[in-house]
Amino acid sequence: MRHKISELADELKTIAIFFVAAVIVMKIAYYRENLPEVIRATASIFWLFALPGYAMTLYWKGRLGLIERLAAGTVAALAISSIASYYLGISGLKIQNQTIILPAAITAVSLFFYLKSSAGNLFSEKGLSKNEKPKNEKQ
Amino acid sequence: MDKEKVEGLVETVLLVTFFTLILYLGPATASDHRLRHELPTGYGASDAYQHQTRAQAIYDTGQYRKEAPYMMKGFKDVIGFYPPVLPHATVLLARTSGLPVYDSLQLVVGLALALGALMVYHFARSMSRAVALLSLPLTFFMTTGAPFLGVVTFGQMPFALSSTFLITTAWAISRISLPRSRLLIAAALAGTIMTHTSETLFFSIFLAAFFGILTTVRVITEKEKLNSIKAVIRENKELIMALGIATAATLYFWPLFIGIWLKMQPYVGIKVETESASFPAATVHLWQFKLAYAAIIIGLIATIVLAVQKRKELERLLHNPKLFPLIFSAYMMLAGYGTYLGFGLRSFQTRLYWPLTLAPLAGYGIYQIVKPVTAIIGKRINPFIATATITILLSAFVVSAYYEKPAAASMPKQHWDAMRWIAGNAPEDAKVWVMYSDVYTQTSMLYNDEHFNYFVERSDAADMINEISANNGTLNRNRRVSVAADTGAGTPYRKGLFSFGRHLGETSIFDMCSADYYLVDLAFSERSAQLQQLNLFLIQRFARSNMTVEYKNEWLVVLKNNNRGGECLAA
Repeated sequence: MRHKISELADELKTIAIFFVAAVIVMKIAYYRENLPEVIRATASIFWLFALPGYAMTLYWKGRLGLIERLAAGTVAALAISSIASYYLGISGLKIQNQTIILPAAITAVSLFFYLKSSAGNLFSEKGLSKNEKPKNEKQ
Repeated sequence: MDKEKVEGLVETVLLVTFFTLILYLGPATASDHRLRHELPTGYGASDAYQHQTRAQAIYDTGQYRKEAPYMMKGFKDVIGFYPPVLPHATVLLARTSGLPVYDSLQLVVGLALALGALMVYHFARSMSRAVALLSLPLTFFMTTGAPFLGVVTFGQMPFALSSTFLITTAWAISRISLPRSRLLIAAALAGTIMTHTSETLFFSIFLAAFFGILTTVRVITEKEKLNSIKAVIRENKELIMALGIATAATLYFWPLFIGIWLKMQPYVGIKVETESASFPAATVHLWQFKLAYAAIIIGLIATIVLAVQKRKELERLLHNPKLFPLIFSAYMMLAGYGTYLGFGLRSFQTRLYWPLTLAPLAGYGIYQIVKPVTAIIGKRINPFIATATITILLSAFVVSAYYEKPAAASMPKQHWDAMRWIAGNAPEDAKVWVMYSDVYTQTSMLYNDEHFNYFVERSDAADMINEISANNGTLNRNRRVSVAADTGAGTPYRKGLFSFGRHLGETSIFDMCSADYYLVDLAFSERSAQLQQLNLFLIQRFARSNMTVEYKNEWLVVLKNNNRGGECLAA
């Protein structure tokens, strides 16, 4: 598990770089918007969807590339978060009270299962070197 | 730096660039390159306002148990029947970012388009990186103003997000050999179910056809019939489990879909439609891809040839990452031609996402053409770099030749301000009488006043003009008018766990003097001079009947009826 945590720390640095890249992308696309607004919108998207999505797809680290995991994870988190939000809303927890709890819970649960699982250690567990890819990987 | 790292870096840069360009050229242009606006921007049709105002209602109440009464002819018991994912994603983003709901919705849908393009790339990548790269140029068609960006401006927003979920479902299936891939498949599929369920139905038809043919062939060709069926189930266990998980996660919504949507919009049988009656401006034809049409057709022919060559592998189609993207893409083309089989509106909608769903076909078609070229130059130049260069050149051609800048549509600020004044100042149960204006032809925008609206259509206004003219200035206060409402699902209310009633017996004759507020335009174009005269005539009569001007700007007035039910047209 210590090994996973240190790999996680490395990947979080990459996530931070992607956040900066996302701010730049959004600022280019929405160039007429002021920077604080762009940063806040990007941070919101990251908090609500990209981070939970990243955590959800950690299980397949080593099998899927980072951009693929980020994209697929963000899409999956859009679905899961919104469905969960709907159920929570009709159960009594209003949406305005979900914006912290919901993404935090999805991220935490996903991280928990990742750290407990045996997947994600493909390179070390399966005896593959970092340069060697599993069959499903890039051609 | 080794070759693979260089290629990986180039690929990353390319993908980020494409993502940025799709966002920039499409959704961001429709939003005038701003995130925050004073009023809804990028909204060009009634459906778009319908989704905006539904999300606003959920923002205001914090939940979606019931529909907003002002969207449902005043009924307070109409169950929240619309698939909830898009409005909830919108409200979560609005609450977190502080952006208005109408801007958050545009951002969510814009991201759906750009993410959809990324997912199509990774879907096609299971064939080869070259085909994936060459599939990218077609995705730029998604950014052109009409018809494709109609997914944003014409309000096909739930369809767009659901289609991105559908592409992600297909991508996840192409990764079915991953451990626990059922979770990826289930998450994306659940997204389609609770965003815009017709995409789930098209996917189900694909699966039903595949499993139907597979099982039939196995049963016919194999001696142990029961064992062959068991083998089919065993081989596709991961997908079947994914279907189970997705169904369980969306269980609450299924009675709503079956009891409300399927009853209101059932399949009625074979019926040929060559143009979309619902969205004529958003009817898509394959020839609209112009030169890219050739790439798609070549890709389709090459796919058929490949499928015949690898026919023995077709029974493991879902486990074949090289065949599956092509067959799925070809299926989505077929789904678009369901317009000849009675699927009408829903099939026409799938065509709006053809720039993404047909991209693997187009990429494979272009690959057939450039393969010999890259084989030759690949002896001197890295084939990946060569393919990337071709991709960039093709993309530049597509954008320069076919890109039409989408308009940043919005209603006039004066009308938005008036509607928001009513929303903030009129009592909750007040009714609003809205005189005809060209601005309100997209009637769903009226929900922004958050009140019950009587809306005088243009034909009703013409009747008024004729009546006043024929009867020396006398006007009957009982008028045939519409009530602005989203009645596509029939204003359903819950009767039991799986049963729903509908509010019926609507009338269309209303007493003009029974409203609490009157929204009346003052400014019209020269060719609508008679409409202007009608409105000025009415304002005069309203004023003589002791109505008071509560809000005014240079384009319109909002009057309050201080004698509701009494005389309102005093001479």
